[in-house]
Amino acid sequence: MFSVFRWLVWRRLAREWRRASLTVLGVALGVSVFVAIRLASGSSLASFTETVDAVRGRAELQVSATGDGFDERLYARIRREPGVTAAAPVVEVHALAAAGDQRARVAATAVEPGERAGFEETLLLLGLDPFAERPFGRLAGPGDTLAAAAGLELLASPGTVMVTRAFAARAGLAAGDTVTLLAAGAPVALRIVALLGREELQQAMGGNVALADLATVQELFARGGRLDRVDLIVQPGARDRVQRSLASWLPAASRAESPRTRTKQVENLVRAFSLNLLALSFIAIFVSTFLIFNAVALAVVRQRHDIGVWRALGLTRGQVLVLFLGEGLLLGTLGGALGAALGGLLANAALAQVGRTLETLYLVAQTDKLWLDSGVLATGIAIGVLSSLVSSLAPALEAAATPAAATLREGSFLEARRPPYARLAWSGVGLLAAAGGVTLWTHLARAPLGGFVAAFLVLAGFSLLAPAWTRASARLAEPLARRAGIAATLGVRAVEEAAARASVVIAALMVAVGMLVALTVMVGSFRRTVDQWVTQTLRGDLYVEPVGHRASLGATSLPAELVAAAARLPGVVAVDTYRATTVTAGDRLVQCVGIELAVQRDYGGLAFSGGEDPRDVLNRAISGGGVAVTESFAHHHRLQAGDSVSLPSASGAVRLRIEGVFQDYSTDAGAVLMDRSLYERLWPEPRTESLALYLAPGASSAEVRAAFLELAGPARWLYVTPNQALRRRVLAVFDETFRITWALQGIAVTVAVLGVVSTLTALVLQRRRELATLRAVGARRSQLRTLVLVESALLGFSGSLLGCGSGLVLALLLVHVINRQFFGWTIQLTLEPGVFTGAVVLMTLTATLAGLLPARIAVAGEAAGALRTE
Amino acid sequence: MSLPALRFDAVVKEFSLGEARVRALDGLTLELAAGTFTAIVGRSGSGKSTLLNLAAGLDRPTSGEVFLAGQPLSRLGDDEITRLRRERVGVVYQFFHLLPTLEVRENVALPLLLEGVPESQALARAGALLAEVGLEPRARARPHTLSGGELQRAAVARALVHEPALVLADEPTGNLDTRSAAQVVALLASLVRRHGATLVLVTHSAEASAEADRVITLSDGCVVHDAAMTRNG
Repeated sequence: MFSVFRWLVWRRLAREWRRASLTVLGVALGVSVFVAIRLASGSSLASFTETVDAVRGRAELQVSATGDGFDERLYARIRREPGVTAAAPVVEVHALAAAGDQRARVAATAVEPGERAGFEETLLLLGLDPFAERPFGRLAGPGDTLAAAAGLELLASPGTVMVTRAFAARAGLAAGDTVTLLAAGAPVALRIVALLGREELQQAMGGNVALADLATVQELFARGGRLDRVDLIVQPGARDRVQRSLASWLPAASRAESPRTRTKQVENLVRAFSLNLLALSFIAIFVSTFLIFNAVALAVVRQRHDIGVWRALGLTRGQVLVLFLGEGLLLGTLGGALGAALGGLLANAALAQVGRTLETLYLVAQTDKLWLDSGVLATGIAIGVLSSLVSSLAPALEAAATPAAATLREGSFLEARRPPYARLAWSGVGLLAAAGGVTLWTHLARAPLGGFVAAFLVLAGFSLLAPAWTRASARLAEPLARRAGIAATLGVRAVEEAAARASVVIAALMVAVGMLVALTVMVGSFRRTVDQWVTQTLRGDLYVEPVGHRASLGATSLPAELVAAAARLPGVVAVDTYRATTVTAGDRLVQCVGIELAVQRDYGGLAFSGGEDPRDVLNRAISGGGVAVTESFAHHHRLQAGDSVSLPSASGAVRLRIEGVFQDYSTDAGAVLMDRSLYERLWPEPRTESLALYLAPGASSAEVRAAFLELAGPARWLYVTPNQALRRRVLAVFDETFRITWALQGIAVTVAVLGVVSTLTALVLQRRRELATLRAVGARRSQLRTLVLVESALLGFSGSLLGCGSGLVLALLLVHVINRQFFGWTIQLTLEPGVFTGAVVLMTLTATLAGLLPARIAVAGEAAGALRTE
Repeated sequence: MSLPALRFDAVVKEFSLGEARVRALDGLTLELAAGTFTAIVGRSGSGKSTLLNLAAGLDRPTSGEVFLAGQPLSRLGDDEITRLRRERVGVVYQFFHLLPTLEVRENVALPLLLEGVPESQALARAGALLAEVGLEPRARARPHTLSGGELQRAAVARALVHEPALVLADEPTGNLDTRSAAQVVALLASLVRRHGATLVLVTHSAEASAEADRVITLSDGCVVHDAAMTRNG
């Protein structure tokens, strides 16, 4: 059978290598997108895991507390816990850094939002106790006496640090040089006493790891008396027992966990984002299945006569099926392998994009190291193979059903039976109805994945409508084509004649355009909603935070005296202060935020679900010690206004009444908002991370800004951002987040267009005799070109119209179902006619251009050759 | 007494043409002895090609039974008929039906390949048949470079390469000039006799039917004349 395959399939593919290449390329593009996205997402998380593993050293358990950490006096008791053989206290911060001593550089003006004021590196700084570190091997490996001695120097000399060889090499530093960190916006110079040699640390965060004495870090970052965690080494077999024992007496906000638990939490945090990105990456694969289907189907049509000969010579139906499945398998395997390779190359670009988004939205530190997971590559190839097998099954079955006798008669009708238009259309309607049912179930069962199932059913349903739509489009277009001349008329008729093949192309275009329209509508609606939210909610005239505040994961704060002085600046009528801590509620990370609710009530613009007056909600929260929660929080925790929420505070679990649910798009993790006074009761560490200044009517924002900067002094790097600039920054971050979706969408459209080129070329070759007959009876070459171009234009127009329909349905799904179930956000759907008309124009033009190559083929060669019979 | 190579027993074959039903064979009954050369003649539409398609198992009768070497084809599934055809039947068509993507020798070797014969053996056997039909120099050529006569000789070689017991030829000279037609018929008849096969030749050509042992005339799906032919020498 292998020889038969080689003779009958491989030879033909080798001869028609250009067309086969188009199909392989289409599959490859689809697979490459999937592989690139998976590698990028996986690399970001793997980088995080690697960092966690590198900085934990030999720790088997970690006692940690979310938010502000825990009192360092607990360390002594933890160390004495039975079963613990070694314990090391740790303070962990992320800080912006620059090589050399930057203190002399004056922060003359405020830094523009998004810029880093020359502090381009982000260091993970660990504050350790050198005396407790030996068993954990972080400061020095076994036998590394130099590093051990340097570790002790960290203790003896304040203001010193150890950095990795990798970081030093990149920054052009050596032992004895200085590195400057930003702590609450103020530059702090640290002397490098030694370079860290442990290989794991060179990889963690790209080598951006530094170790310093615990007290140094506590002092620099205002973490006096606090620890982020205590790492433990326990007796063999005692881990579970120690964990249970610690849980019995540790404060509610603290817990003893495996170091990998943090990785799990971050994975949960980013799961929704990663899943949506993955779903998008499947669109290109979905479109490429149409490519394979048509490639194999056209091969069947063009070889129908030969199939009759094979059957007459003794090839069984099963063997015919195997041959055509084998063709699909071959194309899919080649496409999958090429796609995996391409995906590996694309992954770097995707990594930068995905990493930026994860860092911006989820504060997961960005990495530029790509993990080439062979499992992902293999999965990509398998997807290419599987999708090809599935999509070539129907044409292969059709080939196997070819009756030998009928096709051996000269002049036989070579095209397949007409598609069963009515049956397919009703099946499509059935699938759309099923999509409706799944949507309802998704809403009731709160099963987010149901949204993707519904989306797939919508695409499948519209695909089955494509044959009837194709025929209808051709018939509707014919009167118009008649006015344009005989060439246009024949072009339209050709679409109707080849409806079986043309409808597959139209279905592929429908998928690509549908996703384009859906994403454009969704992103546009989302952007408009965010813009409205920013405009309504961000009412402050100036926003202040230290440079490096976000990178530090909120660990930096503004000096209390600066905060107090800000309120006394001329023109300032109110100051809202902000501080936040991250806690674990249920199994999810949640932000607890403390602000001046009274300022928010009088000057702010929070929008509460149900349209309740924000003043009433905030007054209740202020007087009753209640909280307001974001929509995301309410959705994930299945709570609503009037319910209670349990939060782990520094002194134990507290139950707080939810006074209202408000719209917030800054994070999908969920946030709980409370008054500063309540916050400081729950987490008694008064600090202010950022400010919002409200000015009197007529006060000059620029003057107040300048006055504030003067107040802050030249040695502090701050973002002092006017309202408009902050709004622009928020929207810029939004646009950056969605940039990758446009790249994915572009690839899906490219794959669809490849389908147009490939199919039209094959149809032209199949109709060579017909086209030659036209030439013989007097048609000009230009008329033949027009015929083909009209065909491709009609395919594009028809496919894009159908795509507008599917896109509208998908947009509704994306906005009201998928987004709602995953993120809990309310998005105001906005339908702009320009989106639809733009998609139709773009795809019609693109498809017409794609017809240029087949048009050229149609007029190439002399008519006589094609008219000669066998 | 040996089994007949081919037997039709009250075979009826009807086709639908739009709303009308056409009866191509109307209760046809005949037996063809093994090792003989039978010519089937008749006007267009008399049922000749339908008879051949049924004999090759490429189609099924509406009623009646077709026996191939004593086996009733109606009791066999599609795969079994296909295997039977692969092993025991060779077909030569009016329009040659050589596969354009294969060389001439590969076209000839294809039936052996389908039977599972190793490629090298199949090509060697094909080469031998091509030598018998005088096409050895064109063994590696593609079909589109051959003349009509050469194409039909290659088709004859393909029909005989797997030593079938029955060779069916459907108007093999229909697309050939007079000289080529005579050559092909003579070649076909001599090869079939040499290989001990039974030959059924459907033809319009009186010259072609002159070579046959027996001439059966069909009209409107029935046998209207059945004559054994005597030849000199």
